[in-house]
Amino acid sequence: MKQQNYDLIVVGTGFASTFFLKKYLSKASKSAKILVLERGHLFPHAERLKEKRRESTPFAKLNDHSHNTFINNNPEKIWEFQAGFGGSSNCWFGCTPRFMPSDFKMKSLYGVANDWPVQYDELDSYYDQVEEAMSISGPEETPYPRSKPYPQPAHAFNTVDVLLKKKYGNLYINQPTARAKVPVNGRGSCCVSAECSVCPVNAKFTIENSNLGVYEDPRIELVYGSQVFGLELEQNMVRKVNYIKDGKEHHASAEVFALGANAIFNAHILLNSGDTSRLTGKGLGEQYGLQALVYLDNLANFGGGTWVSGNGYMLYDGNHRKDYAACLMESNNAPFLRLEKGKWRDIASFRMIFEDLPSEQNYVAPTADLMKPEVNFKGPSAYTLKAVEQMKQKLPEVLACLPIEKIEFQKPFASEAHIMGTTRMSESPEEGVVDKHLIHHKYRNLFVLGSSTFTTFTPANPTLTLSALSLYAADKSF
Amino acid sequence: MLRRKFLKLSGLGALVVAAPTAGFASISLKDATVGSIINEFDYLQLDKKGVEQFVDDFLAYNFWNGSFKHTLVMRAIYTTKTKSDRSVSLFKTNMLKTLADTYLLSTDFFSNNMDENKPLKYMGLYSPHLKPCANPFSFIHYPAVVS
Repeated sequence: MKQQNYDLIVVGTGFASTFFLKKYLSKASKSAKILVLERGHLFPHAERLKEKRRESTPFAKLNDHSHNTFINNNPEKIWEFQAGFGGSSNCWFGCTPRFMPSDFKMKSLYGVANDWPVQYDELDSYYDQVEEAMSISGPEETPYPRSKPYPQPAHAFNTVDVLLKKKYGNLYINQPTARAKVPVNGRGSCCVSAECSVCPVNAKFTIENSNLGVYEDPRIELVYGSQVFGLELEQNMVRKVNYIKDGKEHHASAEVFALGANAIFNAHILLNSGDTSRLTGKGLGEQYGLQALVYLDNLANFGGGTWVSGNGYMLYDGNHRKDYAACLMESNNAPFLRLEKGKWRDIASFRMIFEDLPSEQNYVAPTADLMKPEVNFKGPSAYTLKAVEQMKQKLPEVLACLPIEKIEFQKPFASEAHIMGTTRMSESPEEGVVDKHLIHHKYRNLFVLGSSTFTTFTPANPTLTLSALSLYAADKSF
Repeated sequence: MLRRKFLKLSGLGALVVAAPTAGFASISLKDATVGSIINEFDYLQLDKKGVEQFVDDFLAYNFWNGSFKHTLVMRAIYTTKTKSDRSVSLFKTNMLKTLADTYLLSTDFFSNNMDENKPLKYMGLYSPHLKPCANPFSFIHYPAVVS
């Protein structure tokens, strides 16, 4: 640590922290002093590829495996993330649909959960900025409003996508994605390897390949191997951050702090610090998903331009959300073979992804080990489970334009690899933890970033929105 | 060449026939895996060396080798002649499906336009991290055209 006192201290180097810093740096003075504390280390993409090829790499054991960083009291439920520089940008799959405007108004439109204090229109220009920074590939028309075209053209549809597009218009679109269509900034072009966690051709946007210039900025001091476990709170302000590095406890002070860990650890740091907000740590959740295999009668399905080539909104929005959850469809091009003579590719595979609502029975709590939270999860809501049953009834009708032999539904996934909701955003302190600018309702020099602040859990993937929220929060606050 | 004659010539037929009579515990993971592929694709023309080489590569690359559970299940799949579409066990189905998919993707089957009458040739283990851009469903190999 080079300084005793900083203008800003940021915890974590994932999407939320990085986009917050990007905007902050554009507004801060040339002499600003910023400390970034990262619990893990850089594990470069080239070394990750070696690990995938079963070659040895000294980087492989630098970072904790996510499953060892917390106590999971429900082993049937998995919480996927990566510790280390760039956080889960190193393992995400790059799906970047925007939220729908209605997603921000669940209470006023459908009488469910709560409205977000920030609305779609306020985020629109920040969505544009993130899409530009990530060089998102996307279609010309979308079910949500846009003021600009996507930076890159859309990836190709597969055979089934083409038929569904013809039937449903802008309710069926090429998936907007951070898997590049056109090589950009040293990234390759997606070639449908369908192994996106570590992209074989580095087509996917990550913090490491982002070219955002954030961590190269001389105003930033980035310290690896520093796990923050608490904050010193005094008179409703944060004075210091406490962390462990090389087995020793350290402290650093600043004018402003920003927590950009994930929804488990943002909450854990606050709880360790004595945050008494009623909802801190509560409402942990994510989407719920399962695979639908559609066996086709004499129709070969192929030609998709990326891992997920289509997003279907036919079961997403509408008055049904008063009773049951929205569902987003993903059309998948992983090489799932139909092992029947003459029918090798007569199959389509859709991931059906359902929204969920925060529940206080799902929560993060501190333990006797200051560095390790426990995670308690009872299960998805009845609102979500009802939507699964409705989907199973309606899908044959939705897909009636396809020559269907049969549809098989697989067991729900143990994870959608999104972790949300433990420091939710709200208008008032009684209903949440942070305000619309992601500032803690009680500690007014503390930002809490990322999907821990989500008020509800829309079926759309969270990364684009949490990144836009970081830009918005920094832009409105500095 | 007739399939039965081809199998006989390549020595695979003996392996398939002998399996049920051999002691369950004495069947190696490799033999069970090779036999299961042959059983799954009994309507395709496979070659012994290619299947064996694939199984060597496959087991060296994934975590099945050394896994008691996987060895046991693969022996069961082999001795009961289970097929990927005819199992009541989801684990068995998934295991066999993974194996069968990977084998087929590792051959020249798709580059030969899925010609079921042509002998399959092993081309090297299918793994996007070893050989990217080889997904036979992708736009690179077959553009999607629907009238």
